Amino acid sequence: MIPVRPASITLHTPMDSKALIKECLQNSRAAQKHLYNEYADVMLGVCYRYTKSLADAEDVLQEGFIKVFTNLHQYKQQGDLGAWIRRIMVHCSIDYLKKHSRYRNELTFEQLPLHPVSDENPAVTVDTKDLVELIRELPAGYQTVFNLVAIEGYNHIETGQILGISEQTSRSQYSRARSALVKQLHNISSSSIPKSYAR
Amino acid sequence: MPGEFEKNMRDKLQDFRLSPGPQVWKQVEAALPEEKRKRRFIFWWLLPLGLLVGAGTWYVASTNQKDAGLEKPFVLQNGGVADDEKPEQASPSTDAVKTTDQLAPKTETTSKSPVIVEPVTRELPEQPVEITAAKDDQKQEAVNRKNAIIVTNKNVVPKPINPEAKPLARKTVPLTKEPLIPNNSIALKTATSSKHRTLQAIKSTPANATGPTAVTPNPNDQLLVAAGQKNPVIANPDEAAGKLIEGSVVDDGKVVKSGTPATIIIPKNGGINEMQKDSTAVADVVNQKDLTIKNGTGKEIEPSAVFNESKTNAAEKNGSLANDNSASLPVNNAVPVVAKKRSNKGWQFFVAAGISNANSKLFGVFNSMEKSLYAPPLNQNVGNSPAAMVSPVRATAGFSYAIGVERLQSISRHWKWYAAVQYGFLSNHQKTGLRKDSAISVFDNSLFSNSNNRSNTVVPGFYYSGSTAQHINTVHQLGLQTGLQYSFKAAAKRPFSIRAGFLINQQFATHQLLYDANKNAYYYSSAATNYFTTGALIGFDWKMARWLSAGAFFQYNFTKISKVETSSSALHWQMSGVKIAIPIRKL
Repeated sequence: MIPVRPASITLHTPMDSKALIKECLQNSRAAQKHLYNEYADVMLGVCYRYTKSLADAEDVLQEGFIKVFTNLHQYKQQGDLGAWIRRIMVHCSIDYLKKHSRYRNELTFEQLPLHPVSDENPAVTVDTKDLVELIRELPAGYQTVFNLVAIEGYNHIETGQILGISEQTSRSQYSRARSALVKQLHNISSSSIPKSYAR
Repeated sequence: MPGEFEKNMRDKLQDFRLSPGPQVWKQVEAALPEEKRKRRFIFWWLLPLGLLVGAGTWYVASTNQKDAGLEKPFVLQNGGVADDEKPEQASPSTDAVKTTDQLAPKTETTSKSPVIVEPVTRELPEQPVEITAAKDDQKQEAVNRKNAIIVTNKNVVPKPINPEAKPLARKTVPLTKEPLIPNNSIALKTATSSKHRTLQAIKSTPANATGPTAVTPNPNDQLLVAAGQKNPVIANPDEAAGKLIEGSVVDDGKVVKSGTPATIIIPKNGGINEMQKDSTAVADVVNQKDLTIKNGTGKEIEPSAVFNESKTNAAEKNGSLANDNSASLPVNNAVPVVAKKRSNKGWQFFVAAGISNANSKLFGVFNSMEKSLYAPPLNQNVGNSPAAMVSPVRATAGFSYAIGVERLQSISRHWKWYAAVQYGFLSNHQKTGLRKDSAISVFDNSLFSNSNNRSNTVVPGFYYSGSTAQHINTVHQLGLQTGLQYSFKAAAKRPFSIRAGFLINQQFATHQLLYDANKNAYYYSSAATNYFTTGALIGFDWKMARWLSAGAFFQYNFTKISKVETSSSALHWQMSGVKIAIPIRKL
């Protein structure tokens, strides 16, 4: 059984959320627009972390919201709506990566020997935007595993199930991604910040 | 595993935001179904509307019935003398034809032709039977007649009879919709062949018929017929041939309330026996229990003495009836015919059996549950993981039956309103277990239909040979249904009807295999679908015999699940079946 992990996004009070969902289920365009406006910014940030360009992130966001609205009846209103939407966005992002060749070629998870996990915990002093760019500069496999484990909070078993890889591969990929990112952070602290992202 | 570094990263990135371009929403909006007006409550408008229509038709039908019941019946007498101005003065022994006011225009008559004289009486709702007032001397005259057989309904005082008429037997006859006695040339045709001793009134055309103008009774009426002379009465103009009953039939002057049997008085002499020789059956023999039969002295005699053929024959032969003062003084020649409102209500008991199944799609009758209700929930991190991604339960139809009582009421010639109370049992079967997922035939209703990694994966919850469990879901329903029925040939002997209606049910003692989205597990619940449900029904009926109807139907119940965390909140039961119905009280 895969546990449900709550996210920290709560943009509605429970009552507001229920009313909004009810109207969305009745296919009220105004309510759907309202829900979109509430969550689009945060969700685009999620999608952006998994992709290599803002255009791709917006494509994922679009697909994700279509799924949100068409499957909203399955949301049981017991967990946070934001967390539910976030999970959809994460899975949509991974589907997107697998579907498109420019990502699929990078998204190969070789069975590498287990890389020792660094005990180093450097202080994250860089700006959020720069931190996102650092993650996006990682190879797609590293990037995806790091997002799932470090940011979304999945364990390696869950990450393996999501990506269709073994737990060991997930661990290996994550340790390498972490080491690469730590190395980048060290470099930044001693030089300049990475290039800024552009639309 | 998460260390300080991961925690810092998560804190920084959790609320990272970017503003999407406006085209994103436009594309999302374009991909969504068009905004529709709210239709969720249409059914709840239709339900009271249906009830309102039902109540209205009931009221109209009841009103019509009362009105019809107040219509003046008519009495026809063959060869009588017209006296339409003062009907109460008409002599009981006078040959006359009586009818309602509007049916009693002055007509040219001869001494042998029927004329309209007077209405006999009118039916009063409060009284089961009402009769024309018989004068004391007339009663006495009748009583004094030796060997006369007077057959009446209970509580009915017979009208004076003609001492020249023959003794009688009585039967019921349905009135046709056609004008009655258009030329006063209708004769009784006896029916015989079957064990149901019946008779039919048919039209004939005596040469000397110059009788009263046509009478157009209500098609639902029955006739109370009595004949007092040759070529008596009544009415089935659709029939061209028949046999005249020789002899007299005497009206006892009564009007029978709707629902009680009307009678025809059949001449004993050549009456019953002769009628038995004929073969056309239309109406049942009047229920003997509803009759009181008296002889000329007022002494009650057994109905079987009149109606039992063999007994009658024997009695005739050995004179026992005469000895019992219950035979054969001729009675008068009056041929009265009294229109009687025929009941337009009926009850029937029905039993149905068939197959049933359930689905979570509103009209997904043919979609199995595996495509819908048991699809993986979105809030599970199933991703592209093979485990538990496929729909794990296969549903197949199960046995169902229903039993109940329904009331039918005529609205018009073709339409009937019906209401029923019924109990129903529905079931279906579900297989669960394990299976090697071929990734081809399994429908994945989750967000992630990518099945690249699912081949040859053992999927919990589905089934494969050797590891399968079969569960039976059951639903008990107690409910009401109402609707309309349309008969294509209402006057046919075996009419064919279609019907449609609404139903409401209280489900109880349900036993249902359900998927819990939170636990990602399946379990039985005995209460999750104990709901008040609504539904609709369509079907047809065919009246196979007087006592039996058969048909088929399709019933759809709308059920919601809200007590468990299924991935779909709907669970709609359908039932298809055949039905037989047995009238308790005929319409």
